[in-house]
Amino acid sequence: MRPILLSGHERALTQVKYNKDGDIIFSVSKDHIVCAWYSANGERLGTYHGHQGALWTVDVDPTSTLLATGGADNTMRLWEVETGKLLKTWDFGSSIKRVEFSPDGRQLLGVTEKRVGHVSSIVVYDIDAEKGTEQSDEHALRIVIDYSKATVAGFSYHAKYIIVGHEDGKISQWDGKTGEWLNEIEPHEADITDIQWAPDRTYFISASKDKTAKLIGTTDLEIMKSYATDTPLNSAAITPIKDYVILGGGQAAMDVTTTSARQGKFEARFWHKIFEEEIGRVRGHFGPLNYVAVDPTGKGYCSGGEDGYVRVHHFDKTYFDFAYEVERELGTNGTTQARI
Amino acid sequence: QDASRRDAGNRAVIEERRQKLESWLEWREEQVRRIIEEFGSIDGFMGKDEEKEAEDDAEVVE
Repeated sequence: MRPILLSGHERALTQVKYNKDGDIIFSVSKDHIVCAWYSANGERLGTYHGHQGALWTVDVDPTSTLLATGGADNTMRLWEVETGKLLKTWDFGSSIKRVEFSPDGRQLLGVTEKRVGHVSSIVVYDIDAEKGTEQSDEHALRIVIDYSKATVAGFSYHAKYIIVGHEDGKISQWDGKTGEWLNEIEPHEADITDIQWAPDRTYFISASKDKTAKLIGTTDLEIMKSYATDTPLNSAAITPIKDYVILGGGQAAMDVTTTSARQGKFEARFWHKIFEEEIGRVRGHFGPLNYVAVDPTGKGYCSGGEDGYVRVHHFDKTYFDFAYEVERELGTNGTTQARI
Repeated sequence: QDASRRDAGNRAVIEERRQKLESWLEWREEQVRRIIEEFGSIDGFMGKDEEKEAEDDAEVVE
């Protein structure tokens, strides 16, 4: 599993995302630039210029036609993937911390930051992917988060729910159509830093500064699994095909007396999703892993680091061949996602 | 005696894994059943063909 190192950014990576086919990786960084890369060989396909501040978030629609970004310049932007043309800019009173397309690509969600005079909120816009169509200025839905601020959010299966992660470790569930509050749990003791979905969005994984990640059912917000580590987590992803999760994080430089990679624990950690056992670690970054993303086709994963690099890993045959004894006995071979 | 304790420990670990896997499969089937009942379909499933294709395509990039 030899990595490819993508070194096109000049500052810390904040998010990396594969498109649905897994052949393109989009990366955003504090250097204001969005990059697109071929995942197979690491060649840079292009850049998207226009943001005036650090970028916090990126997402690509299911047809790889539209790209959404959000950042510290208080804008959420929509781009044409192929040409790099800026299609739309939505202005807000505070940073955009997370963007995400709905599973069908017809809606775009944004998480706005809490700041003096501005509440944290979730905004949803209807998106028309037809070429040349003007996108609406008016949001289809706005959820005001007037208690603990939202840090991350996303759409569930069929966009039935919007799931929100909060600064105080809570996760809330809202009606995806009406914005009505439905349910809330408190699975973590500190900031929720990431939420990523299983391929069918029936469950998701949350990562937190409390050093744990949790696997949670979308419908009932039932905590299914827990992964406890020894370092604050910035990101967690669920691998398709094989039953693993990948966790990324590390102690920030200002929180440790020395900044050696060993002390900082800058590793991607592989856990068995169902057995809750750690199975391996991948080293390489020289700073905390700010985001881990998996290729939706299951062929690999990548991580974006505080060190300014994206590391792309392609799984080798042994990754696919390995299965625990009970997995072979029960016929799952470590692939329950594909089985049902 | 040590070996027998180790064997018993291993059996307990395997049994715990079996129970976790079985209850996971049960939970997944119930979730999928409920969603298909409500929406008629569920996105994001990787069929056997795609799974095989991903395995065949897997290679180490130097």
